[in-house]
Amino acid sequence: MRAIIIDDERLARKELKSLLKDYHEIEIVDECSSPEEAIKSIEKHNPDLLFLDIQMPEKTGFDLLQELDKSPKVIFVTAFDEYAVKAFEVNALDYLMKPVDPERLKETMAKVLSEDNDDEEFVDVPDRGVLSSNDQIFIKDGEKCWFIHLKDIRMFESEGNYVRIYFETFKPLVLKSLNGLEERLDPKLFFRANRKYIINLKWVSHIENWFNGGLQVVLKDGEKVEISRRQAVKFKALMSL
Amino acid sequence: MTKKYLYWIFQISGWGFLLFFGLLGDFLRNEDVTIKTFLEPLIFYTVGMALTHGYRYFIVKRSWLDNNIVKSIPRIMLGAIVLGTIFFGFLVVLIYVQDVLGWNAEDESLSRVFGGKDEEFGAGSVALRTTIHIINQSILFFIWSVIYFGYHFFERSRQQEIERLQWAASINETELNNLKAQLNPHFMFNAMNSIRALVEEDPILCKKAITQLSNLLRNTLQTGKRKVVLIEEEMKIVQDYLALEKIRYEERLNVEIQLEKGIEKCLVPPLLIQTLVENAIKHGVSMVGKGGTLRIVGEVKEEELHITILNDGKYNPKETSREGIGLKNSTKRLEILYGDKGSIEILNVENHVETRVVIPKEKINVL
Repeated sequence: MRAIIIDDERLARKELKSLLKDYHEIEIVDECSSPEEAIKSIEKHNPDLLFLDIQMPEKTGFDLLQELDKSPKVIFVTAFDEYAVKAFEVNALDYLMKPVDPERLKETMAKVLSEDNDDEEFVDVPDRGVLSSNDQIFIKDGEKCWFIHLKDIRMFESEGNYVRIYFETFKPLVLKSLNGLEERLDPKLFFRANRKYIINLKWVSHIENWFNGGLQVVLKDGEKVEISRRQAVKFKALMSL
Repeated sequence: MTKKYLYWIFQISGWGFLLFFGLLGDFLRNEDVTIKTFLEPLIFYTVGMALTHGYRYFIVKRSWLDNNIVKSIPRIMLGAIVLGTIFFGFLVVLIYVQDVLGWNAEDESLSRVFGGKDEEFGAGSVALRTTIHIINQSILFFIWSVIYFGYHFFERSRQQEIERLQWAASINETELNNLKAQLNPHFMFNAMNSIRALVEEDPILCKKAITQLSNLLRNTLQTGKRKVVLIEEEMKIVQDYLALEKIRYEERLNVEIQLEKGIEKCLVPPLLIQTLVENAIKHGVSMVGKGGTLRIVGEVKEEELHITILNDGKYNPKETSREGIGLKNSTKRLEILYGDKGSIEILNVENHVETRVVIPKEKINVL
């Protein structure tokens, strides 16, 4: 696995690097001392894994993740930070506490490496720029953060300049445009139902005829979304393979 | 609401109990049951309940329940006797009315209440009988009072126990929070992390850093308890702290200290400068990518101590809500120690932040 370490403190990076020496599966391709540097480096190296500090000057680790279209796997490495840790109570995600306990690191790495193997089996043909169903995105709404696989998202709803993302029991709001999002999503998985919604086809439970030659789709959680007449033609074509 | 509910349950069931047994007794004694057999005890005990309800109103209004048990005993006794007398008075009226209406059998008439046909007791017997009757009735009200006050005293002591425990818990929590704020875990763990990295890179600096960290810990724990400390003691803590931050931030942190000669023997509240320096680094220098300079300036002006901390960065009062505890505590401490003669203000001056502390100059009297 190719990894990048992002921390504003040189000694902290050095310490982590020395701890990671024992893991031959991990290749550290770059070290960054700021989120700005990291964004460029991530574009360049396209790493599988980030070791990310949360509190850094100018921008936090969360800000960095929000700027990425799709996120590599992330292990947060942070000192005592109640607020940051609290942000993750909503979904179990790995974070290491500084100074890092080698035993704890071992557990974390075992988890990351085993997940990596699982993913290999499902690898879609990497399509540049388009996100696959196994890609995860980072979402932050207020104090809460989530890492979520695209396949778990039921739908996106446009709300002005924001997009509401529906998954599990959450509906966070993020600053994104639905059109921009549509371009990045896999058309085999996500369908633009109308001006306001993009739905995940894997979550469709059943389909009913609707007024004016449109359709109404009912998702597995009971949400109902109307498909406009124009889109309904496309939808039928797509579904009648 | 539940308390009021409980009160009425006690009232009604208590008087109802008396009514029930009163009636039962009448039934067993009287062969001919008339409406009077029911009516008399019903009126009797309804009046009893009304009296005690009024009494309760009086107790609440005079806040008798706020007193302790010992002080309440004579009041309870007196209250019971007064109520007993009123009640007996009512009884007399009730029987007299019945006498006049001719409802009473001879053995129930008023004259029987006050001695009846036993003339041999004489005038004394009327007074004696009256007293006995009043005492009898008073006992009833005394029992009522014991239940009423007893419940309240029991409830109050339970409430006090709960409050005492809550208070103890809140004290513990405050102490813990103070300690946590003093030790600043975020700083501690970052420092330890740097020190760990230093083990291989620079063992000598590493040893020094461990010493500084232990000094800092020890001094923080010790001086935190004192009211004031010498500036030189305070600066020792500040310098250990800054040395550790310097290891962490390396060339990103520059420190300049300018203290007027003689100022080191002046007194400041412990950890005041330390807290403000920590804030300056946390919100100032550490937030600037390329780093910055932290300056501590101390001077004496007109019997006042002016300590100014200057740091690169920008002060945003809105952002400090979460971490502004240190500053709030410091301001409070100055207020307690110096009244309006001490002050802390944080200002944006050009492209840096100034934290200005003014306190009266106090020196240890050196003999």
